[in-house]
Amino acid sequence: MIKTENLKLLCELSKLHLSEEELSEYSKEMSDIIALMDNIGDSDFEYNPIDMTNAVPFSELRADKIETFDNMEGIVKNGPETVENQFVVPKIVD
Amino acid sequence: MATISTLRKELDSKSISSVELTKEYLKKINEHPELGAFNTVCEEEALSLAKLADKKIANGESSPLLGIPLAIKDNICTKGITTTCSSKMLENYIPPYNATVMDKLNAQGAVVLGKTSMDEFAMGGSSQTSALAKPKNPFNLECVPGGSSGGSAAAVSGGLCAAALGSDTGGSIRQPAAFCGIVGMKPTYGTVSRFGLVAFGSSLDQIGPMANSAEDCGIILNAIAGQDIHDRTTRSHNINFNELIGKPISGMKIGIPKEFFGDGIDDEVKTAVINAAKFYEENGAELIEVSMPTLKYAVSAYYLLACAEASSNLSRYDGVKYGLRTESPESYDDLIKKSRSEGFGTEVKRRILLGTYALSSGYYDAYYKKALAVRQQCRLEHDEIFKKCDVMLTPTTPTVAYKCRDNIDDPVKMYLADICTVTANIAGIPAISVPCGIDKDGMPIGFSLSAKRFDDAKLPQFADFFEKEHMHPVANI
Amino acid sequence: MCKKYDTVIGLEIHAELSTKTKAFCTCDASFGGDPNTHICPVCTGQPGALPVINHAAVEYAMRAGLALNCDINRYTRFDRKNYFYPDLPKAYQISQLDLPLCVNGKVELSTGTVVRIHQIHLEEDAGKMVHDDYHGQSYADYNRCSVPLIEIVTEPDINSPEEAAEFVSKIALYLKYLNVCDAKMQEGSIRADVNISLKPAGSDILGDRAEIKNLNSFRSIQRAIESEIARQTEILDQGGKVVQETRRFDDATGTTSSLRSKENANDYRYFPEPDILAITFTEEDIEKAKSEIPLLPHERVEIYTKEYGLTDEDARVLTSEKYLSDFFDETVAIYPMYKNVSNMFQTEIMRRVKETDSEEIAISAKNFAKVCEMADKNTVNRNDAKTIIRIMFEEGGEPEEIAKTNGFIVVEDTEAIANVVDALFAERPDLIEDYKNGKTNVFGFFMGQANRALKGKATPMSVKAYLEKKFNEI
Repeated sequence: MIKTENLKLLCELSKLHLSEEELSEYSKEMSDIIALMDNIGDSDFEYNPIDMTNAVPFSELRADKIETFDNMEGIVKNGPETVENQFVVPKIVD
Repeated sequence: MATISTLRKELDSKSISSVELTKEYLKKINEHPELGAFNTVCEEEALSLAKLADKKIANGESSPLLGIPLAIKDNICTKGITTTCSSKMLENYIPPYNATVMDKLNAQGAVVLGKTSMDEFAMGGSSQTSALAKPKNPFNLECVPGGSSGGSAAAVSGGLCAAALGSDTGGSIRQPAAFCGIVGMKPTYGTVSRFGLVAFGSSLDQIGPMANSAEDCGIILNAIAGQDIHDRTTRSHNINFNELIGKPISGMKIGIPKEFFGDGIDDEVKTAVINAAKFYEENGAELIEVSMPTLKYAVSAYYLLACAEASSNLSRYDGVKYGLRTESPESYDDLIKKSRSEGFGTEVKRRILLGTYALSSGYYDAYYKKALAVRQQCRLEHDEIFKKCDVMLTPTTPTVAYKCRDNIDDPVKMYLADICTVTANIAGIPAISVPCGIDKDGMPIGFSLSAKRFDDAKLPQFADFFEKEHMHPVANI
Repeated sequence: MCKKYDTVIGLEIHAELSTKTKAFCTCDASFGGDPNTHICPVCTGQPGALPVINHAAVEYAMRAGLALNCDINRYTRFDRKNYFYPDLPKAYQISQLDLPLCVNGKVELSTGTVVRIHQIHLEEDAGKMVHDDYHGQSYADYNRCSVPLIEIVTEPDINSPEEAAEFVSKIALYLKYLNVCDAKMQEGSIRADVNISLKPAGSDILGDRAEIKNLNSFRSIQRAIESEIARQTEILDQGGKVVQETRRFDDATGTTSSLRSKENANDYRYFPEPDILAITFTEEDIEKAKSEIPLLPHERVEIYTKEYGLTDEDARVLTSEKYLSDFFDETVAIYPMYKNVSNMFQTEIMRRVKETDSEEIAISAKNFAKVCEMADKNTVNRNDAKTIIRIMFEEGGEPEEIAKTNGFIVVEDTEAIANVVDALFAERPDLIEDYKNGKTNVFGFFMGQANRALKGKATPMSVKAYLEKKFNEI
């Protein structure tokens, strides 16, 4: 069961804003989905973090050679708001 | 429906030009807006590529896809052409680079007709979560084409292109292929580069072909597969996807996993799929029963893994670098929250929240880590199964295509419908869906063949063998 | 005064690796450049882009680990650390959590304290934010995004601000010796986070700790810790409780202040990075990396003192920078008069290079060795030798040439010595008489006169020898 409180925390972590109405709707749906997922708790397989099928030898890694991307302006052009080739956000206060 | 191999002959013999062919498809695309197959049609670019292809053909050049008009799922980056993922978030996003598969298609001189609609960020099985064009099933416009590669499926099935690229995270190529009466193949994870494929579940995503024949699937895969320096999850391999086509199947073993033929599977689907199995048996293949006990955890494991990865993959959409940005944000926090809330649809938000939940502290071990363990077990099970058989045969979907409004309001029901396809992604194995008849309402049914990792060539072989004796259903478009 | 509390300090040092390309893409990783001119789809987090790990980044991190006595995990994996910040385009940092590259290292300090290293992992740097108060905006430049970093995480084994500063400067020096990091604090290539807690003296129970983030000079590390110890002492003395939180150090006021913490939003949701395969190492890989580690400062000090007979002080000065120590080594390999070379090096070479920012020594070790030898053998006198070095620094040239052109070469003209000294003896029989009567200090007079007359033709040593012979004959 996902309570509205839990859902609010998940929203904060994933930077989504839900209205009160949406919150109750989502919390019901999420609860149903998680109830479905809960059967995974019945499985008793051990996860082995060392998975050799998913590894590459050190010697095969990419060489340290500069290759300059040829369309940097294409990257900046997608910025919704840019100033002097930089991406603009409201002032950050930490 | 014209296959790539037929068109190849016509183009090379100059009985038709690529420009003529391209114009025919563009005309058909324009005549069928009700199919909602495309988010973007690139008329000008397509015609200029076709002209170039004709010039090359005139010069005696040839390659399997030269001058062949294709459609591309709208989550594959095309430099200079919007790539939207059918999301408001990326409605105006113009990639500064090409996906590796696009470079490979360009190298062969293929013609790109446009970008096909899909479930938003490939999340769904109906393509109705698209915030842009919502594709429909050419066999019945009231029905979904399946998803998430629904636009590609509708385009191929409706004859709007020779073939298309889709992407498959949990069945997103095979399920719409089955729903629309075409062939769709998800190759082994790591055979085709994901570079430029907008990520959903990175450890599961794979690009693949959707086409009118198994051989066409192989032709496209031969063009786009291969190790890529930009995607280190690709492996070096020299698979010729069509090299086994025409080789006899007698004596080969087909595994039938009993768990895939349970109560959840519609009777008409079950019958059609069992008949397909019998056809192979009649032609000398041996059917053997195999078992996949982890199937009961497969949907859970799949959604936990895919959503966890998606929650991270989709965090980059913050309204700063590209994509939708909310008006007049008060702060950085406000900017990202509002931009993401306005830009993403309901299903995408649901999956982001679910994935965040599975990874959050206190739940990681109970959900995400369990899912990782199930994945490892599932792989072991597949290793065992493919020691006993060459391919495995299952239904592609529990039902035929449903009405557009039916499933999509009930996420649980929608998720459960992926039961037949997700294990191939979890195990990283290749799988192909092949049409095997229609139900009483005329809707296509598909069956799936899968093989062990990098045994991809067996799938076009078996599928082609079936196709030779069974016409694909044809939509009345 | 008896100490009331023990200080417990742990450090996390972030060091940028000096690879040519970034950790996960082929963009130029060098410092600077106009905003967003060292970028590509990968480091700006474009949809669909994938990271591809740089061999050199792993190699450098491994070298650092080996030099700091770490074990190398033969199977190392990357994880995603998820959080939102505008300098982090993907909204996750590729880092390492469960299977870091290096584990279980240790470094000994001059106080005898052994600082255990918990782990060293490889990760990527974030971009740069510029804040514009006037417009209430911040600007993101992604040139630094994905530059490789190592994070060195210690156990809480450090006991004082001085030890912390020594540890960080030692690490910085090692990384420079290893050629894996520029260690330029002003460019942010080394930064440290400090965890501090106090506990009653002698107690085993750790107190609540505060973390001070992003310290970027040895001095600010020491000052921040001093100020934080004072703050925590005051709290504990008043019976209060230290709040576990992240604090910031203000260089201007010399005090730390709390960063408004969003503790609930600090769940990084680490999970294995699916886009990067785990990396495996063979024993040969490790051996090769070990063989590429140069002699480190403490090893050189050992050689300089034990084998070369230099003082501890001299050895430390010579090893304060790798390029200095390398130059010294190169010189003594040609001309192994350790003490003399060390003296000449410290007075004539180190003084000059310290005036510049550069780590280039304008003259060659071969030429420097030659000058040292010329001075020792009196081919030129010591002052002229220094002039030769100055000329080589300012104008270049070969030492012998410079000595000749400037008339510095000392010619041992024995005939001239005899003529001059004999003439002096003939001129001053009175002084010879004085000598016979025991006034031996007249020797000095003859020495001075003869040297003046023989300048450039004979060394004082030869003059002295001839004079002694002459007086003995009397």
